[in-house]
Amino acid sequence: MATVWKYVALTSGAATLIFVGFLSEASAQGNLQKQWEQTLAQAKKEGAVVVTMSSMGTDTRPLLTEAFAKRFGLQVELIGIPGADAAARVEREGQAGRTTVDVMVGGADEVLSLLPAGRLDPLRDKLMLPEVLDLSKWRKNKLKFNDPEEKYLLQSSEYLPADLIVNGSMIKPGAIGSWKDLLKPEYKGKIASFDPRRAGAGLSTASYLVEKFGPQFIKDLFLGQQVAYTADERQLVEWVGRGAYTAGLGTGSRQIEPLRQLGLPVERHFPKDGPGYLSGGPTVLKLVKNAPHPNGAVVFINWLLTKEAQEIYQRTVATVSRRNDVNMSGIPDYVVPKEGVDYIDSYTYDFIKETRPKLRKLLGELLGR
Amino acid sequence: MAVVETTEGPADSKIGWPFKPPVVGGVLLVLCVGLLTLTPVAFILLGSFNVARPGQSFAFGLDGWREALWGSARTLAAIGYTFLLSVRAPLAAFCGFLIAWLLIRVRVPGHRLIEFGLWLAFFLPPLPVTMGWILLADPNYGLLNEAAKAIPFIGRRIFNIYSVGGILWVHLATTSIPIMTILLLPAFRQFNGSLEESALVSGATNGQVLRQITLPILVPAVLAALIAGFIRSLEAFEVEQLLGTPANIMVYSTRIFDYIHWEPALFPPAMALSSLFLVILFASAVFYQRYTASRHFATITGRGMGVQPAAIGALRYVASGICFLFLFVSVVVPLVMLVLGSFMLRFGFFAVAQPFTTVHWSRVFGDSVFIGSVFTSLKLGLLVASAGIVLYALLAYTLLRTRIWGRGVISVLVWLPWALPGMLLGMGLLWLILSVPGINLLYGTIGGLALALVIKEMPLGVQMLKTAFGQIGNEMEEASFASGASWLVTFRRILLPLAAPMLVNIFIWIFMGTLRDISTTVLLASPSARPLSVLMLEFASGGNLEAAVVVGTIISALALIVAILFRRYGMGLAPGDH
Repeated sequence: MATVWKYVALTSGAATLIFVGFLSEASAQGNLQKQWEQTLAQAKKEGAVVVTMSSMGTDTRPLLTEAFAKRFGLQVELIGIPGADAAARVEREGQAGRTTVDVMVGGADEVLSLLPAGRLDPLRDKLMLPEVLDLSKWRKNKLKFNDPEEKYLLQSSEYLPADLIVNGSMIKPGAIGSWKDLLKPEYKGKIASFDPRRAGAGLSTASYLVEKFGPQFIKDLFLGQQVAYTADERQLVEWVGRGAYTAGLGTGSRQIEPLRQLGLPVERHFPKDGPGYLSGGPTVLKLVKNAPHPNGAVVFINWLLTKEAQEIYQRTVATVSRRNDVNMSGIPDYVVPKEGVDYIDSYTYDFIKETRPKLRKLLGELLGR
Repeated sequence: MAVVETTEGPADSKIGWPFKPPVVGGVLLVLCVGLLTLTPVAFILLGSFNVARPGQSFAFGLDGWREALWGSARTLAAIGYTFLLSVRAPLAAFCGFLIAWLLIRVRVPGHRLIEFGLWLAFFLPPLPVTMGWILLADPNYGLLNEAAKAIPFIGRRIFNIYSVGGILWVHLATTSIPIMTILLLPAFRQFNGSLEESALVSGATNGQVLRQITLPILVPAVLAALIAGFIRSLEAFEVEQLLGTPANIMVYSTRIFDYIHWEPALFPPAMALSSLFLVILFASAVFYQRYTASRHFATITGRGMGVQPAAIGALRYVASGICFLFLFVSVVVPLVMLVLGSFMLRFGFFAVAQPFTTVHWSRVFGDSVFIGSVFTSLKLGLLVASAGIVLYALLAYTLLRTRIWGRGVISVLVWLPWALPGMLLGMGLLWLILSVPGINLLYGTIGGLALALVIKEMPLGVQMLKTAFGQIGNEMEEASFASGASWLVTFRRILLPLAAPMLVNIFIWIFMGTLRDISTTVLLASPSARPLSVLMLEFASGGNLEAAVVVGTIISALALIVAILFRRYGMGLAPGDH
């Protein structure tokens, strides 16, 4: 009898807990909904939202602006500005107490500059929309932040940059099974790269290769094979597409796809011993401290993380959203990370803070800077 | 015989400022000009010694300097290449002088058309023009190389655009020589032909006249243009980046760019490295100041201006032919490339199916911000050019014709905006406009951006107007004052019309510079005011270079229209036949 009562007590307790849980969740959702409505109402009073983007596709601005206005009746001013310039502007504005930018969308470098300078506001606690907070909609069931506290820099995409491209009509399938195949004599003087001594895709690829294969490989490849450098990704891809060089190092799908659509034989190649590294590209969201339109900024950040906005953004910026429910049509397969493959993640805080400077210093010693 | 008057400057000048200016006026002017030009430079210099971590207050250290000077063995090579490539400045000055002389003093057949062509070259956007040259002279697929390969007695590719020669060629053909000529033309226009005639009557040859009369008289203008060209050549960046990298040619400005665009940006070494500019500029400014102090020759006097063409016989036609050949290379070829590029699916790819399209033009014209950007650019360009020309004219006049205290200091201060490469000057100006009480009220307005751009263009505007005013004889003003005119009336109705050729050129120069500027505009433009240059940057960084080329073409067309209108109006103000 005592056992029965024990079961009844346990069952009742559990039921009560579940009920309370439901109630509190419903209450929390209700609170969030109320908070969202208040934020939206305030945002409408504030007027426009000002957002800097370090990289935009041709249609990014018109499509995002139009969709945002249609959804909320709010205007967003999207400004295309290089990341370094945007950071400098926000820093100086912050020092002078004259902030004009609400949200920054770009790389994750600000984790080492604007964040320690106190120019960013946390945005994790500003996420309110249920479809954003539903972690099952995000890769690995989590939102990915690039800062140690996981609340300031939110990475909205994750993809594979094009470490290695080849001219498909000049290289037989399977000819480059390993990265070390590039050291063969027939490739001497036939490889081009985005200059790995400068910031950009070439440096990221070289950093990956030095981490993966060590310093000697870098010397053998870049110096031994007399790799030609360019400071223009477009030029790199065109060199390979025109057959001036057999292989190219360090670019992205946004440069490759237009040439492929023209019928040029530019192909992304994956050597088996180095599947690549993960990048967040220019898709990291940051909320500027003392933003002039704080509520509008919150509305924009929430919206940009929705399925609707991510589909536009991902397609026009040529990246892969971290949301797992977006339509992937038009996204080349070679930029999508594969399950079970061991990639190096170049967008973790540790990598940015510790590993990347170490690798770049090493590359500087190997290749000159 | 005509007399060459030396406008010895204020010491011997009995006219000019109608009252003896007090020292306090000079001090105030030094402070005002210093505030505008020295503050951004001081900020950058100070920043080079800052080793504080982000968010911490200033901490003095030499890390930035160590990195800049010893951080990379290639920095020295970059400085070497920079000076090697700056040889184009004297080359361009020489060619520009010769062309200006041919156009104004010889009046070679087709001189008006040649001058128009040079302006056109000045207006062409540099990036697509450079890409056009790549398409022609790339060592692997360049069209000229393919043609050379097909010629039996050559049979191989002979051009390589990725070389010192290639970089020099692109600069000289597309910008350096046209710009130098444009800067020198007004000085020739304000030149009294009777001086040369007297020499010729006295038995001098054309060559002797050119060497012993024309050149010495025009020294201030030539020197100002030469220094401008030299400093600008140190700052040049895009062509070197695109053509130099494949040949491992790195220059000083690309080193600074690399520091600024490192991840995260390394401002202290960039700022330290840019101090080299300061040293060179200071030396140039002092040299210019001392050399030209007693060398302003009045060529516009009360005796009238006779401009008889120099007689060089049938050589006129040869010279004209060479000028047209130069125009074909520097204008027609790039222009064709530019127009073709804007209508190509992808710039330079002729072999693909359906290579031509109007989609880029439709995209630009269909962009919701395009019309607003056109108006913003026009408004900004006219505001900066108008305000700039008034300020530069007043400053130039003050420096040349008054006895105000501190003229020497002001003369050096007005050069200072060139002490920094554009990338860092933008930062300095941002700091100035955000931090200085009073001026900071302008931040976020079109006025703030206009002020920054006026400061940026100050060195060229003031120096060239100084040379223009220096060519105007004192007796013109004396006559005006004797007739009872006030200083303001004299300045407005005598000096400005006489200096109209230079004023017009400077106005167009500033207008074009404003429309093209990116480094300052991108930092200071208010979010709602997006000029065309920012729209172009957005297209280019978004991977749509063809749409960026379309915007670049529109910028050039707008500038050309304003230039034609303003030249027609401005030259109409000038006395005599221009």
